[in-house]
Amino acid sequence: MCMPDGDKATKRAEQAEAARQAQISGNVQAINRAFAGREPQYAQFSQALRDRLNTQFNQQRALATRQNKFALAKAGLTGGSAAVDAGRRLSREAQEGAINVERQAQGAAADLRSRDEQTRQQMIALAQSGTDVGNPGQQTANMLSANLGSAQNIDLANRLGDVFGGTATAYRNAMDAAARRRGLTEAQTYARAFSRG
Amino acid sequence: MCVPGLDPVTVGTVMSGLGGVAQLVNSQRALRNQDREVARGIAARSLLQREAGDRVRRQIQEFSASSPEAERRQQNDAFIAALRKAKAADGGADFDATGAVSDRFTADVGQARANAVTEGRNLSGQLAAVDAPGLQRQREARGIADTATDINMIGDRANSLDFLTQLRAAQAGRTNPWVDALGTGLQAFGQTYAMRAPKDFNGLSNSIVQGEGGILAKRDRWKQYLDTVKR
Repeated sequence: MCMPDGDKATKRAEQAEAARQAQISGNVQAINRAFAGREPQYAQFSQALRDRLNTQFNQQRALATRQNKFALAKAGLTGGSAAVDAGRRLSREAQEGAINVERQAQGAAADLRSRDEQTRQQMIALAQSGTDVGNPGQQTANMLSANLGSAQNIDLANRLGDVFGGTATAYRNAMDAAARRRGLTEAQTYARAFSRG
Repeated sequence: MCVPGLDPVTVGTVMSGLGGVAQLVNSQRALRNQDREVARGIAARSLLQREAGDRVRRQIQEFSASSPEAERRQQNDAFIAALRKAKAADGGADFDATGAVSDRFTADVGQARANAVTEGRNLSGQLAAVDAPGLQRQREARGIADTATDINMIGDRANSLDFLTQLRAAQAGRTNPWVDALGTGLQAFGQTYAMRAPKDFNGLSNSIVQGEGGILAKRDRWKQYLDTVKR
């Protein structure tokens, strides 16, 4: 019995297409598995950033508490309502700072996850283009080179900023006031020494 | 021209049929060749696709095994080295005190220096852990870009192969012109030969021509009839 013409090529094409689909499916599944296994990395990164920001936060809080105490003492306000106000401000700033630390840690992990999601999509495009060799490979390369620039360069470790800005300003004001008082006192003393009376 | 002892119609039909068969076989052969070339092209392209798929799979394997640990360790080592260099440069000038100092001060300075070392180590570890995932992703992005470049090169090869396959298939799909000409010639000859049969019956013994119901008998009857009518 004769096989119809073109049967060989059609059969080959069918086999190639089946193999292509199987390859795409296998690669996409592998990519998804690889990204699903990244959860511990996000948690680890988030914790590392939290530790770093907490360290900064605790250092700032210790400094602000000390400055607050000395500023109140220097101004003779310890034990007064101004000390209560200063304590309230310090406490509020500490709470905002603690929440800010947590927000930064979670936000950075979410950013990382979102960048990975983008990479996942790119890799899937690559897996598909890899089995249908052609232009998508170039597109992926372009997208990735654009991502390379923005992948890092975010100064995560210094995102916290100045948490106790209010307390620091109060401390600076108190120190300025103390300096003014000292200046006035010294000026008076000097003036008195040369006065006629 | 006649073949003695053979019916011209039969000979003409056979010749014409042979010509047709020759053309059919020729075109079938061309189609088979074309099919073989296309199949070969598809097989070669499948190999390239498999190569590209394997390249992607290798990249996925690298990606699956990727962790920020190597970058973290590298960054940490670099930070610690920087701290050591800075410490060697300033010689511990942070705690300098002139003149005689108390034992308490000396003890405090020792404690502070020890704390500074611990703090430096902690800071280095924390910063390395924060930087590592970004560096890891840069490395991964470079790997993916390399894979994309490799796939582009495979794509170029696939495009060239497609072009060659098209050329080869076009060439293989051409019928043999000599066989075509022979077939056409045989058909033409056969038809002409068969058409000549009623004009020249010499040497033919076919029942269509001779015998009671043959063409010759009919011709004779017509002649007799016409002669009768003329008379």
